[in-house]
Amino acid sequence: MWFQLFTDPILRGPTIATMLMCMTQAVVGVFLFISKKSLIGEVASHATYPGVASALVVLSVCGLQVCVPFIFLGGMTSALLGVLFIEFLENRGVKKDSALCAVLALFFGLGTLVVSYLQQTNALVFHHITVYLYGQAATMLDEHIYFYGALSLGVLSIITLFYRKLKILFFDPLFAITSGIHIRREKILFFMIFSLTIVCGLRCVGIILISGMLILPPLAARFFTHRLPSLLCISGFIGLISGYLGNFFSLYFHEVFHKIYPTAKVSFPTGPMIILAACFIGLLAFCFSPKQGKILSLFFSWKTRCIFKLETLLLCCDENPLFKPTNLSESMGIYFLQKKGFLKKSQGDVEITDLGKAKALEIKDLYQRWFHQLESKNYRLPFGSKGIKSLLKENL
Amino acid sequence: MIDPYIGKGFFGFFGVLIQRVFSLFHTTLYMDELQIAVLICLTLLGAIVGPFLIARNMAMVANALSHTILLGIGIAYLIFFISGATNIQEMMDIKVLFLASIISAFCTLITQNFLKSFFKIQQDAGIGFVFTFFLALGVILVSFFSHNAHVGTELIMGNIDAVDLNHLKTIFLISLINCFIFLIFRRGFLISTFDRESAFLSGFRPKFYDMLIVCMTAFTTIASFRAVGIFTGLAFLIVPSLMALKKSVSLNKVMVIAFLFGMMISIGSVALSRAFFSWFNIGLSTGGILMVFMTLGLILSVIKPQYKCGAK
Repeated sequence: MWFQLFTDPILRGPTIATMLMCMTQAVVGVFLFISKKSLIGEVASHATYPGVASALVVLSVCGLQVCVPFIFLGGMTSALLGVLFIEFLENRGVKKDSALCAVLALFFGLGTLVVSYLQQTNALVFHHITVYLYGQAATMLDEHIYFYGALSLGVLSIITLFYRKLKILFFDPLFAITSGIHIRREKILFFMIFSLTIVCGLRCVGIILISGMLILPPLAARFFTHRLPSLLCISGFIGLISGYLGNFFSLYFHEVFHKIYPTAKVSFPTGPMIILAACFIGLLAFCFSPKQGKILSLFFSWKTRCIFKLETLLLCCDENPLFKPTNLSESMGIYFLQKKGFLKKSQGDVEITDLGKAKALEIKDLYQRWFHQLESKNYRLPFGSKGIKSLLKENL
Repeated sequence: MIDPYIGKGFFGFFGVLIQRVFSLFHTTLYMDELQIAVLICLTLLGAIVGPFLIARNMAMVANALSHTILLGIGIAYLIFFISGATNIQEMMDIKVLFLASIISAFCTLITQNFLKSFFKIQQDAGIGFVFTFFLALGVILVSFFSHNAHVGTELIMGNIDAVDLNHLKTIFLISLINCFIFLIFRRGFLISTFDRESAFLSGFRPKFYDMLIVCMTAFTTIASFRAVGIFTGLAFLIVPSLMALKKSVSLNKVMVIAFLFGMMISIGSVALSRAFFSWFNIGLSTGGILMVFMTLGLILSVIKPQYKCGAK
């Protein structure tokens, strides 16, 4: 079933198109994430609603067919208007948080006004609104693949061209001004690309959930790296996989459910499934990523503490030949040291071996050099000899 | 008796309304009056919680809550489904709603604190993660139970024309509860909003008041989702209080002014929607007209503020 999603003509469209779409969004979302403004993505995505609705009203009044670029134009315009309105409110003294929330609610409400007008006049077009509200990934065709491919290529190439300027703009606006980068122009360019991405992604996951693809992949990718280029790549990659996994699980659960309850009519919509897949990848990243994954780092710090305990035990045994373990952890430590060959059991008592003596000398030597260094410099004391060794190596 | 509001224009609406108020509604309440009553209750709810949300920078938390409410509803459905109820109408009972709101409030708060303290994720990304995750989960759960992939149009937009007396009673009860909670814990709210450290020293635990505010917001959201939809509820929470913050600095006055503004906007929007229906025979959504008035009110109040409090 893994490859069926790429070959089957019905499933091929949604899968590849959503994968490309999610990759583009993840890459664009990284820039917002690094400037700590991820919630603007949510507001902009909700602000596209009145634009899309008004475009549909205009189309239905003029009697034209559903013309997709026109709808996109409407959505982009209202998203940009929303962002400008937020800046206007902030300049006038409304707090940033509340301004975001107010614009979100107000624009969405304006959208519902327009949609209610549409509901009365043209019922067919009204049903078309649900395509944009909840996404309708399942009915995408091959031409959508080409369209999204072209879109991803365009967005990625623009980001590559303007990479340096965008990087400076989002990390440090003041430095950007002093570097001669025209902030207003670059910001408008970025937000135009951004609203284009959002509006094109409406078909995949819908207005309500699209902010997920802007927030989750960069957040997950942040746990793998510190540098911006790798952040972009990893985030795009996570977007790709979550698009694929979302489609896969939607299909899989559907089939499994049908086997168990053949008469039940349940459906697993693709949009939410993609978001859930991204969330689970994110949770895995939070826990198990190599450098910052919480559970892994807890494990490593536990391991380091164990080694520290073993070394202290070895030093104790070296200094005091009549050392007897008093509690469970000490006896376990002595057992491990025996297994490694630093201690040996003779006549019911533990005795230190030559290997053990050499190791103890090494540890003592390192500690002495360390305390020597501490007098001159201001270091935080690490646990155990391994940390000391690595810190001392820098100064040798 | 036929509805006396049918066919009236904008000012005729007010004429009929004043007549009915002075005759103390001696017959049944008509649809428009029910709508006004519901909206006034919602304004009350919003005016109580709103200034605190704005002052504590918790507006995005309110936004997150309005999305995770869907998950709460899904879990409440699940619980009732397991305990035997199979009818959808039965499930939309007030007990379900309360359970849903409390579940979602706790889920949001606890998960967000956990993410921030254990995984050290920054504040706004954490909120985004939480509500997107829960919203997706909620959409899947709810569509699972109502066999409809596009459920939730009613949740999002509300259907104020389907409001009846039971809803009014529910919403009124919820607003009474909120007022009650506010009156009991008023001092705690004030101190923990404006000076967290001294609140902690005086014995008011800030985390408890955080939780209380989130619960009150959840109650407001759940009260409003049935009548006007989630986003209008969010607007009721934030926008009248924003408008009032520009007119006054004292918290009590802000609440009163927010309530008055909200009341004027609600009555005006119901009147205008009735007027549109009479003039053009198009039933525009009352919630939408509410939003238009709120936008205009916000722009007007921000252009010439008397107090420019609220730092950039």
